[in-house]
Order: sequence, then C-alpha cells, then structure tokens
Amino acid sequence: MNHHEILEMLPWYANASLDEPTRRSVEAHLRECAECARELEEIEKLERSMKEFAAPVPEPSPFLLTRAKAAIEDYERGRWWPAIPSFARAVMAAQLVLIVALAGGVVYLKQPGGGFTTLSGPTGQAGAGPRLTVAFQAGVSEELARQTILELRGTIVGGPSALGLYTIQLPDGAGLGAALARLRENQRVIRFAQKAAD
Amino acid sequence: MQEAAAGDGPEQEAQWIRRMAEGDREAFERLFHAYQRRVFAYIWRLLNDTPLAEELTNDVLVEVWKGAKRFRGQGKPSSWIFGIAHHKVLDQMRRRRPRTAGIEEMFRMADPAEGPEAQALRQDERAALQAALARLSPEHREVLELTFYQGCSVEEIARITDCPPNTVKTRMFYARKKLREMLEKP
Repeated sequence: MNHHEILEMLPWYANASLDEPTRRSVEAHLRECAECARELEEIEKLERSMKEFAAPVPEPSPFLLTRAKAAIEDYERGRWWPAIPSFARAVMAAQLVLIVALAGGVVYLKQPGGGFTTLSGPTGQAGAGPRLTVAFQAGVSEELARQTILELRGTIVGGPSALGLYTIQLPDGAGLGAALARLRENQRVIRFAQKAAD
Repeated sequence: MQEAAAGDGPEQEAQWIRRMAEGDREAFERLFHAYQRRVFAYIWRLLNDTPLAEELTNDVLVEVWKGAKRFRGQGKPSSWIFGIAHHKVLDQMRRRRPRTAGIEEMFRMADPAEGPEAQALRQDERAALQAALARLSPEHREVLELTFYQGCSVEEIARITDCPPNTVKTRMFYARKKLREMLEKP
C-alpha cells in the first residue's frame, strides 16, 4: 500500500474495522509518515467529537416489537395461498369452480314456477275427482274441520255459502260413495254431505 | 460493527435468520432486540425524526423477516440489514427534506455538572458541529454515521450503500473536507 492508499484508509484504522494485514501495513506506515500521523489525530478528534457532541438518540418506543410482530402475523396470514403447493392450488381452484357452478344450477332450477308457496295452498285441482257439498256442525273448530277434509285428501274450492255450505273437491280417482259414507258417519263434525251439483 | 449486542456475532445472527426463514418467531425476537436500537439510531441520525425513525425501523425488521429466505450468508447479516435500512432512508429522503436538529435539542444536551463558562464553550462546539453535520449531503453524513457510530468497514459500507469501495473512500474524504471547512469558518 502506498501513502495515498493508507491516507484514505485512516478513518477505518481509527474505527478498528481493518483486516489484520492492512492494519499492520497502516501501523508500519504511521511510524514513518508524519503527515498520516497528523491526519489520524484529526480523524480521531472528529470521531470523539461526533460521539460526544452528537444529539443523544432517543429511546425507540417500547411497543416497536409488538408492532413488528403484528405486521409479521398480517404478512403470514396474507401469504397462505402462495405457500400451498401448485398442484393443491389447482385442485382447490377446480373445486371452487365446481361449487360455484352447482350453486348457480340450483338457483337456476328453482327460478321457474314453484319459487314460492302461498299460505292458502294450491288452488284448483286440474283433472280432479268428484265434488261434494258439505255442512259442518255448529261450533266445530277449524282444526277439526280441516282434519276431516284432509283425511279425504280433499280441498275446499267453494263456500261458505249463505247456508254455511262448502264445496269440497276430491282427488282424481277418489270414490264418491266411500267419501260420502265416511263423512256421514262422522256426525260429530259433519251435519250434511252430498254430491255437489254439476 | 461496534454496537452489536454482547455475544451476538455474525454467525449467531445468521443462524437466527435461517430460523426466521422457517417461521421461528423467537429467532425474530432475538434479532429484533439485537438490532432495533442500532437501526433506529442510524435512521434517526439521518432523518432526525423520531416517529418516522420508529416506523422505518419497524419496516426494516419486518422486511428482514420477509426476506429471511433470500439471505444466503453472502455477507455479514449487519450489512444486509443496514442495506435495507439505507434504501428505506433513501426513499424517505426523496420524499422530504431531512429536519435539522432544533436549537432546543442542542440546549437540552448541556451537562449541568459543568460550570457556566465551560458549558457555554462546549455548547458552542456542539452547536457548530451539529450545524455542520446537518449541512452535509445525506451521502456524506451516512458515510460518517456508518464509520464512526456503527463501526462499519469500507467493504460493509460499500455493500450497504450499494456503491464501490472507492466511492466510499471518496465520500469520506469529501465529508471530512467539508466539515473541516465549515468548522474553520468564523
């Protein structure tokens, strides 16, 4: 190392960061070179002044570690997807597409017609069986009347009239005679039952 | 580097970083404790803004966690960590002008044990040096900071600041020259 190279390295001789061979070369040169020795004195003075006179560094917040750990957890939560092997990602993506397609199909199939049911139940019985005219005993509860009609799988399609008569529609294939006999036996509920006029 | 926590050599630090790459939070805490004050001091001296220095210190150490897998031990962990800090500081400097030390801060540093005359003299010296340091360019301040406060070698500074070793030496030469000129002026 020549004089100029050693002169340049003096700040790092002063801070003791030179490797051993370089440090020995500098020390040997310093014993012979007055200019470098003076320069070193200046550098050491500057280093002392900087350490002594520099504004004291404030203490960082004691919550820095907590903040850093929270940032790390956020980061780790955000990178679960890339951490999954690529073949597993492909499988998961395919499953997701399938689920979305199935859900879409279900929604689509539910759209036409029967998307809702009214509280009054189905109206009319296309191609239905015979009709009956029925009068209930006074004071029969709605529940009892309903149960009696449902046992015949019938539907009230008319009434009550001014005389308290109801028209009951029986399902297709239901026997008229059997239905009338059953109703007439049930005198606790039924006051009157006959085939409805056509 | 000088301010490393006692007993935490580059080997130990490199081991923490390898463990961090495997998701070891305890290794991160150890590295954090070893570096938070050093990184904070480095940033604070360059930007002179405590909340910002805290924020950037946090960013630097979280960045170390994120990049732990990329660390191949090609240099000292401290050079890598201060390199990240250097780039964070540069980004900030591009956005804002660094705040120079306020006069109140300088007076707050006076030692009450000294007599009034000695105190005044030292305060003059202190104020002059701080004013001169504050007027240096960020590159010149940084080379002084890394050399005299962090104890970095030329090669380490070159790695941290991403420039050739000769540029580091040139910056040091001009930093000292400018300081000398400013301090010699009446």
